[in-house]
Amino acid sequence: MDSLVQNANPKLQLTPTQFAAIEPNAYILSQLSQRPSSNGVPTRANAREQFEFRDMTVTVGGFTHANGSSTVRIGDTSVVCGIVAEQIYTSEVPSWDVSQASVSANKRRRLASSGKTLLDNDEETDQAYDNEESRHIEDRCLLVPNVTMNTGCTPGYVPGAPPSEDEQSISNNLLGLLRSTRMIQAEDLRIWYQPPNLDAGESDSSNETQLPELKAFWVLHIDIMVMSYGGNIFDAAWTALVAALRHVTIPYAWWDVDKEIVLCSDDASKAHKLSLREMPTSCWFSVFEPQPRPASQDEVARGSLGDGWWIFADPDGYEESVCEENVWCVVSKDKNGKTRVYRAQNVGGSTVDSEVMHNLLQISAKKWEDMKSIIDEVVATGSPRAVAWKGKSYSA
Amino acid sequence: MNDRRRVNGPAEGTRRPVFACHVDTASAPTRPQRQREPKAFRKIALETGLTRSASGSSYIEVQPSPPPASYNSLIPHSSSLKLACSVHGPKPLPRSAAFSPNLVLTTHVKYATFATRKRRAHVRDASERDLGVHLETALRGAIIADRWPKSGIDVTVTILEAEDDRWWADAPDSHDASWGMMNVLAGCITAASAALADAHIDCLDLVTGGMAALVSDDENPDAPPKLVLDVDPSEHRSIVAACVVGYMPGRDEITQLWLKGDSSNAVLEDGDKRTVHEALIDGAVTAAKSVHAVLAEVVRESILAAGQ
Repeated sequence: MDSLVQNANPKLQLTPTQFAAIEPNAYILSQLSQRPSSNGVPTRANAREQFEFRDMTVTVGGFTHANGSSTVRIGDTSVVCGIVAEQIYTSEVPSWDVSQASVSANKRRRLASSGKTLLDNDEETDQAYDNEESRHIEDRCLLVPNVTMNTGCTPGYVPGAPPSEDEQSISNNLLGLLRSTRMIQAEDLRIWYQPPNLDAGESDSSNETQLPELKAFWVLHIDIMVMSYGGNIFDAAWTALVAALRHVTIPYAWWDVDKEIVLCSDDASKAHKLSLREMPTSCWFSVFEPQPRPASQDEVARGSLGDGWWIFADPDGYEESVCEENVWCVVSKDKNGKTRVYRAQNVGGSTVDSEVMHNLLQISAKKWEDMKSIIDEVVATGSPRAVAWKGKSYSA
Repeated sequence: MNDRRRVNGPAEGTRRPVFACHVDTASAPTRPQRQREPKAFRKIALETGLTRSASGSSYIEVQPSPPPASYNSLIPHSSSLKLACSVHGPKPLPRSAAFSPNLVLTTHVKYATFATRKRRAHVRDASERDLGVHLETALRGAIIADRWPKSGIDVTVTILEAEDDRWWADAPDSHDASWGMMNVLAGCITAASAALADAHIDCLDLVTGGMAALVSDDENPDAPPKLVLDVDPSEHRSIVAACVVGYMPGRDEITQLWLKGDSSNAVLEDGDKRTVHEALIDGAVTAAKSVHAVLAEVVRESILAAGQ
């Protein structure tokens, strides 16, 4: 880097911080070409390897009034997520039709008679039921994720201002992902009422039991606040959201016929957790292209991908400000170890080809395994306790 | 009325869950009792420099009063203060701003939506703006503003968890005012002061928030109210009046004073010749002095850590 500066003007001396602030692109390039790590791989300006993720700390709980909450710190980024469960009555929904609940009511009755619960028959795929599941969640807007960045985390977001474009885009991506991954089962959010069988004494045929009525839904208000801005907000927000969802406790609720309201029990042993189908992991990568692109073959050869451009996993705020092209992968693995891809998206350029995309998806799948063990561990500990994860480097 | 820039919930609105023990008076729980001495404080955790992307930041947390041994309810037993403060600046004022020979201070206070028992809105409400103005008054008196002409500084406080206004099982109108705000303001002042020190803004002294209140726990309405410091409103039957000060111990100066409640008819305990107002302000100043010890220690530690 010194040589670069001296070439430009032998009399002008800049400190590395000044150089980094004035010419971020050239600074990152000079670091990449001058600082190979022990195994010969070029390292980034923040001394990380290309596919090295930052240290992470995940905590669940800690916020008294939220049904589920979490705090995630990834490097200098930290976000807080709080989930509050409220209710909506089907009687208040203008377009609500009793037949809308018929499929699940039938299924519920069938399961009740066979002695199973809805939640443990994951394998049984009932197409009509599945469609109704997602339709309830989507039509009734039962999941309400919102991201707030104007908490004073960075001067760019004015406190008190309406949501900026970035916040809107992250909130909508979170919502889209929650819907498309179908990780939340609508059954967890339903409040049923079983009308008493008044003529049970006269005829004892179990086939004539009344259909349960769907009386209300739980609505999950998911609010994520960015407390410190250090790049890669989406990964932090998604991790916080997943951890908080795992921590959510929903009280046992029933329909009180006399008062015509839903009552809840404050008994913690009757409450239930959400049974998430999946636990997808989001990985954000930035593509760094030097400006202007290196001319000599010698310089090109140093890029690990051989093309004169680099991919940074888990970019920090400084790297994000320089990189225009971003790759976003959301993956999960099913019980058989097969990778499922929920998002594979490249925005802002066309440098990444299908082979690179494949590698990035593989890296994301490896990250998923680590993420799963972290979140499982932190949820298992129960009381607010942080679980730390040392950042590490992956290879495809 | 929905804001299209946010993800909105159901158009019909949502209801808070109603717990059966609220409706059913037979199984009503018992009110928590203050276990501390009238002048004893709950434990305070204060830390600076957590928001790396800001010039200065701080986080303050007050330890909640412990629940009874056999408490196993989903309704939170107590609420305690958790708030984060960040400072940006001094930075140049926008070009459109008029010339200012002094540092222009802007303060924002916002509750997180999950900060209180009742979910808060995303848009700032009147009480949040009120807190912002009170905080600005408290800090304005401490900052040496003429050292930064043509500059601005933003102080933002995010309340992640706020104090209760009343005991959760009380009827909504049994306490007449939002007493929780008083504690929140005291916390805001202390946190903002720590964040200003972390951002190396020159101040006359570390301004500290202190809170005191006159409470009556007695069944007998004629019994004189007691003066207590660092009040958790849920632990008291009723609060007669409360006071928050922004206080600088080094200069024995009050930069901000907020009295709430009707203390005109209250009579202090025997032998106390002070007026009720004086007693309240004295109490709040004593509280601020105690908190100042914590604040000064934290700031000293952070400076020593930075020097190494």
